[in-house]
Amino acid sequence: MSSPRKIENNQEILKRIENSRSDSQNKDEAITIRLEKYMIIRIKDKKYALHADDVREIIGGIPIFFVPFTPSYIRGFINRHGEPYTVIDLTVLFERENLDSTTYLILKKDDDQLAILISDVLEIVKLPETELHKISSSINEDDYFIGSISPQEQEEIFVLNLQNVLKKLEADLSGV
Amino acid sequence: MEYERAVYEQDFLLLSYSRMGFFINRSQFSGSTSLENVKKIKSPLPYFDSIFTYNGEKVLLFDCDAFLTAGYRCENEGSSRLCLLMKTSDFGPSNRPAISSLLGNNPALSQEFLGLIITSRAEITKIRIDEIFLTPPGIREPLKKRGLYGCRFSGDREIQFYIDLEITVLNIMKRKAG
Repeated sequence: MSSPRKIENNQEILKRIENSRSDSQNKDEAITIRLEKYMIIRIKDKKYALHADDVREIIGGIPIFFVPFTPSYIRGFINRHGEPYTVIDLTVLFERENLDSTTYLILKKDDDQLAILISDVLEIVKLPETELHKISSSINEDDYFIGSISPQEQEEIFVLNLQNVLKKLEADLSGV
Repeated sequence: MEYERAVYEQDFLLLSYSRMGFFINRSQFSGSTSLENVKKIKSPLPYFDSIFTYNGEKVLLFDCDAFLTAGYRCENEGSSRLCLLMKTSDFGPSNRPAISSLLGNNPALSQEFLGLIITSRAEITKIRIDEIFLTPPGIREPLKKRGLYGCRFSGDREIQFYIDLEITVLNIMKRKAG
């Protein structure tokens, strides 16, 4: 450890005190930066992200059973431990095409049994919350994305706004 | 002290299709018979396009089999078809005027019975209530209004839907032809 340097000039001492205070504040700020955990998924040929906390489980290899009287982006039910889970196909919502897959993200929801059909899970990344580039300051009801993240340079991945997807489902079902 | 959970079960009619089945509360129909002398009629309502003779009366038929295979996208593997009989008096009080109005349009038809064409792969079976799951909460109400209450899974590859016969019939009746 190096020995402390002597400062004799009062002005310099005051400046140093000021600087040391502001350095310590910056350190405190750095400590309180929240890290968000995102799950990067692939749906068809596109990458999307969602908050990892929204996902309970990833399951695969089980069939979807068609259920009538629902919007086309509801592909049906899957059997998770004997209970039916509603499967949402975002490809139908975004591109009007069915996704051919049997991999599902079971969403962590206490008041519903929902799953999202995906192609696969790519990785889980931790990023400071400031790394989320919001699309706009206020999110419209029809925005299916909160914003985007760039875990790797030159790659922008849209973060899904699941709440608005579910709001759309609720609105569409009210007209069924 | 140990408690034992009470087990409830009910008689259901189980209709079997490829990878799918449907179960209907036994109390929703009065009996069944074989289909004979079925005649096509002109009807503005889909699936209500034939009649047959039962006990000397002409009974209007609802083609439940065609509705299920088309609506739920399943395949009938049965070789022949049967007929369920529903008494119009067994319909709920709020639904009786609708069924009476349908049958009343044609006085030659039985006002007492409505026939339902079903697959021959049908059996009465007891199902434990705790084996049945309601549909997921987010879509439960709209499905309930269409007569779909819940389901159970039979292995990994088959689902069996719990449907309400009366609501199913009434929903089709409310549909406009086209």
